Parts: sequence; C-alpha cells; structure tokens
Amino acid sequence: MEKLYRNPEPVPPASQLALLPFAAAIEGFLRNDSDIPGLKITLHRTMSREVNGYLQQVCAYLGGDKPDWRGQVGRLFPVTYGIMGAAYDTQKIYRTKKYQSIEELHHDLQESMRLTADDKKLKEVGLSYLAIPFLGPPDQVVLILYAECKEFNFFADDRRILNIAAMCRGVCRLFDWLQGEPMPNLRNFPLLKGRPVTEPPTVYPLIQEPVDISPPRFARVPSFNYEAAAA
Amino acid sequence: MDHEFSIEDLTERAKAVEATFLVHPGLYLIGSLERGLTVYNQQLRAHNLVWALWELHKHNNGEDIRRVAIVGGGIAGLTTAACFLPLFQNASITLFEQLWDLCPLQQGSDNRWLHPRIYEWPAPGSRAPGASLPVLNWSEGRASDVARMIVSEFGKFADTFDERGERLAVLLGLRHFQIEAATKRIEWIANRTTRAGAFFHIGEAEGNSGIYDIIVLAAGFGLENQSEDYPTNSYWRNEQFGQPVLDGTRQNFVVSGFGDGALIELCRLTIERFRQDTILYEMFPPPINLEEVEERLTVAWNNKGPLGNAFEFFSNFEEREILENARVELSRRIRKDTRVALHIRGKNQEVKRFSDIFGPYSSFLNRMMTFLLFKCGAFSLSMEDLELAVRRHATPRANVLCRYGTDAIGHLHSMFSDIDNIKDRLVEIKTCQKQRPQRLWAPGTFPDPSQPKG
Repeated sequence: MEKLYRNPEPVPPASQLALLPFAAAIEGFLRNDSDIPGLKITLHRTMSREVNGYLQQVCAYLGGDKPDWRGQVGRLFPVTYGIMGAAYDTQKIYRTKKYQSIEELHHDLQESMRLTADDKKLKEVGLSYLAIPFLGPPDQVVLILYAECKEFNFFADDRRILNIAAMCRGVCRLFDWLQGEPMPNLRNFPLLKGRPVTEPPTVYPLIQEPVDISPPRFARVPSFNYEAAAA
Repeated sequence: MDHEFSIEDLTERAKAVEATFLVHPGLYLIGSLERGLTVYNQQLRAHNLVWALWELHKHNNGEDIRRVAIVGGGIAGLTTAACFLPLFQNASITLFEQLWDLCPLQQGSDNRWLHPRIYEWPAPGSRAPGASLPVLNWSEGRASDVARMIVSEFGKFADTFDERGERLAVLLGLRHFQIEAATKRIEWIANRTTRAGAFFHIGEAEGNSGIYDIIVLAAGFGLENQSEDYPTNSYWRNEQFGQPVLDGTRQNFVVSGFGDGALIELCRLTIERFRQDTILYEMFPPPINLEEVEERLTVAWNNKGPLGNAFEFFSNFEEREILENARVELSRRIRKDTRVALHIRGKNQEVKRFSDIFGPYSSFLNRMMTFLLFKCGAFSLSMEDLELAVRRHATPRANVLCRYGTDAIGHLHSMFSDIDNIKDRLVEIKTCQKQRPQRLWAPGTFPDPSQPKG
C-alpha cells in the first residue's frame, strides 16, 4: 500500500492556505506554551479521482520544529487508513483511550501493530492519536482533522477534545457562510463523490476508541476544494 | 469509466491502457486523432501512457527501455518527457520539436484563454481552474501564461530528475524528420540544444539518425487547415478582433467553420467584453446558483447522450427559464461595432440546416453559447459557397476567419517513410476513440520535484 500511494497529487494552494491557519491555531492551543513531544497536526479531505474516493492530505504537518508547507501535502490514502479510516467509517471522533500505565499502552500498541502488520519500531510511533471527522451534506465526511503526539494519555482528556471540537464547529460555520457568499476570485469548486477505495483497516484496534462527542458538521459544504480563480 | 480501465489489477489495466496508444510495436500516439483534443486531455493521456509502460516494465526497473524518442515539443510532448524522466531512470530521452522553442503555439499567445476542463462543462467541478496534475501542473490563464507555467515546471523536472543533464536531449528547428515504423528508426536534421533551467540554447546543427526502443508521437493539434482563398492566422496568434473597433466604423466579419475554434471567434466578435473565464458567471449571476444550473443541465444532457444534437436539447430543455435568463443577459451585450456572418457549409457541403452543427463537433459550452447568440439574433448565417458569403456580407479579406481544425492524419502521414505499415491502425485509432481522457494511472505514481527528498 505504501508503495502504491508513495507520491502526492496536487492540492490547490488556496485549499491549503484555507486550512493551515486553523491547524496552526489547534497546534497553539494544544501546545499552550509547553513542549508536546512528537506533536503533528494536519487535515485530510475526501476527494474523488475518476470514480474512486480517497482521503488526501490537504496541508502540511504542523507541530514540528521546522514546518515545511510542501511536506507530504497531497498524499492519497484509502478511506480505511489508520485512525482516520475509523473516523471516516463511523463518522465519529476517534482517539487513543485512557491507560493506567504506559506499560499497558505499550503492550496494546505492540499487539495492535502486530494485528495490522505495521512493521514500524515502537519508538517511532505516537502514543496518542486523534481524528475528528467534519461531516457535510448529505451525511458524508468532508474533512478529517488528524493529530498525534508522543505524550501519554494526551487525547484521553475529554475537555481537550470538547475544546477542539468547538473550534472545528467554528470552522464549519465560517465555510458555510463562505459557501453562500464566496469571496471574489476564491471559490469552493465541487468534488464528485467517489466510490470509496478500501483496504483492510489499519486503525490500531486495541488502543483507539470512538468518543461520545458530536462531530463538527457543515450545513452547506459537501466537499472541500478551494481554488483561486480568474473570475 | 470503461470496464477494461476500471479493473483493479494494475497490470491488466496497464495492458488495456497501453493498447489504446499502440500504433506499431514500440510506437505510440498520444491524442491527435481523438475528438475533443484539449491541452488538459493530452496531458492526461501522457500520464496514462507513461504509467502503463512503467507498470508493464517495472519488474526489471525499465531496463529494456533505454532509448525513448518523443515527437513534439508542445505541452503533450513535454508532459510525456517529464513523466518518463523520474520513472525510467535508465532511459535517455530525445525530444524533437519542429520549431525553435518549446510550446511554440502558446508562447506569447495573449489573446487565447486556456482552462483545463471548461470544455467538460456543465460536469460538476469542470469550472475548477487548476489542472491538479502530478506532472506539469497548471491553472487557467492566457495561453502565454500557461505555456510559461508548463515550461517552467518542465525545467524543474529536468533539474531534479536529470541533474547531470545527460539523459534528456532536446532537438529544435527540424528541417528533416522521418520515422520508419518497422525499425523504429528516426532520421533528422535539426539543432541540438543545451539546457539552462527552462531555457534551451541552440547548438550545432546536425544530420543524424537513431533507433529507439520507444517512440511517442505527441504532435498534438498541429497547425490548422487553411482556406486557399482566405488564409487565416493560426488560432494561437495574437490579433485585435476581440477589441472594440477604434475608427468608429462597424465592421463586417465572416467566421467559417463550426468547431470550437470557430465558435470562440463567433463569441469574441458578437459579445461585448467577452472573456472565456468570466462568461459563465456573467450569464448566470447571483442569486442564480450556478452549481444547480450545472446539475440540471448535466442530468438532462446525460439522458440525451453525449453524441446527441444539442440544438434539439436546448430547444426542448424543460427548465426554460435557465436558458432564457442567460439569453437576456447576453442580449444586453451584443457588440455594436461588428456584423458577423457564421459560415457553416461544411467540408463536403454536408450542412443543410443550422441545427446540423450542434452534433459532437464542439464543446457543450460553445454550442450553448451559439444557440443563445442565435436566439439573440446576434449573427447571420450562411451555408453558401464561402466566396459568395464573403461578397454578400461585404467583408474585407482580413475579416474572414476560417477555422477548419487540423489535418492530424495528413500531419502524421508526412512523418513516416513506411506509412503503409501503420495506415490502417491510425484509422482504427481514429474510429475507436479509446484514449479516454481520464486519470487511469495508479495514485502516487509520479514524484513531485518540489517535495523534499526521502
């Protein structure tokens, strides 16, 4: 799978720019002036390529020491990929659940990696993950906020998730307004809904869980593809 | 998507895709004989062909493809070369261009607008300005802007994937060029160049020949057919017909033809302040929801079938107010400084009625514009001999614009010393129309030179 999808396909710069400040705000909120080891935040969109539907990374990862706006933008994934795949499938917020000890987490993480044929080394992978689907009409996933870090139990805090979800809802309201009254020369051009491309799910099955918090929802945005246009 | 192209097995899909381009073993043709030839569609085909070849040859890292010739230094040729460079890293690539610069038709062409998918309108998303292609990506703009973007991207691909400048040779100014299909031998007289970024400095002239593992014909549109009596500048050359007449007179024009080139001329000459990039937004202004208009037109047109006659479709379209509103918008801006006759006799005098030109000879959008302009009474019609039409409309010779498309078959025939070997196959390719302008390559096939390595 990695080999098949190894190179990115373009994402319009306007789409990237529309989401980068939001990802940066989430990063600032999570960091809150302290160092969060391994923090990485990005957003993916659902997109179609001919008849097939994929997840595509819309903007660069934020959170590292040296952000690179080009970095890994545009990668395509089957809709079953990782924790994003679980969020896409269930249309629920997913996160790494709360553990009593890091040893317990390591145990379940290793077992999850074995079950999903993930051959990365334990020290290379995050300890906490989050995927928040943004739903749109008619009941489809439009965007997914993805975050990971190496801080133990980082996303197990309900309050933190509630705050992030509230920020996401603000983004939905903004783009709903813009959908009705687009700015000159900047439009959200529709993407067709594709037949979701699936592979065996790779969400770490033992450590991730759905969260009982309503996901953010667009009222008017069925797909996300902002482009700068001449008219 | 056709079944043979939608198959999950990539090798089988690649075989099906490769077969659509194959003219003779090792000899491939991109577009040229397909209907609805656009810059974007040609680029899709280039991606598809090179991916298919890679998929079929990657088991040995493409070792059996060492020498590649690409014929044509336009956008299709450059895209093909840029697709080959990162995948076939053992191959040397020779690009042949007849003229003295790359993308020669579009360079400096400030009058013409290029948009990746507007000729697919009203398909959802067809107004999106970006091509979103992994290789030589671009966005809508003047043809000159697009040529600049493409050539600049080509320079980046060459810088990244041919760092030492040893694998890519560009030959410009062909004075002799002949292919022997049976042996895949090419003979030429041209100037070899050296590359500096996106520019190519001319070197010594040479007469030479070589045998290639793969030859890709990416000659694209070629130059247009000319009327003997009324030679017209190429579609891509700059002129002033789109601008208001400055001496206060009202000028007569005859536009001859009914393909996209002719219908665009009709729009420029009849619509005040016509711009291809803004016209849809101006015909369907808020509070009209353009996406809803597109959806309704798409559903109704798909029921009719893409080869249907659009005149009947527009005449009988049930949601009459959609087209009526657009007609009213257009009627307010008919040019006052021109009188235009549309001459639609056809090559073999096959056009008997105005509605005959609404078959699949041009894009849906241009047919709709022509229909609405007809409803506005914005032009007169002529199906007589061109000479008579010109005389009857008192049109000066310089104002007769003949847009008859290109003679792609003739252009291809002129390149071969053994045309009999491939003649039938060219006819078959033209008849079958199998080179689908769709994204058939596997996602992630082509590296992006601007991405950090590793």
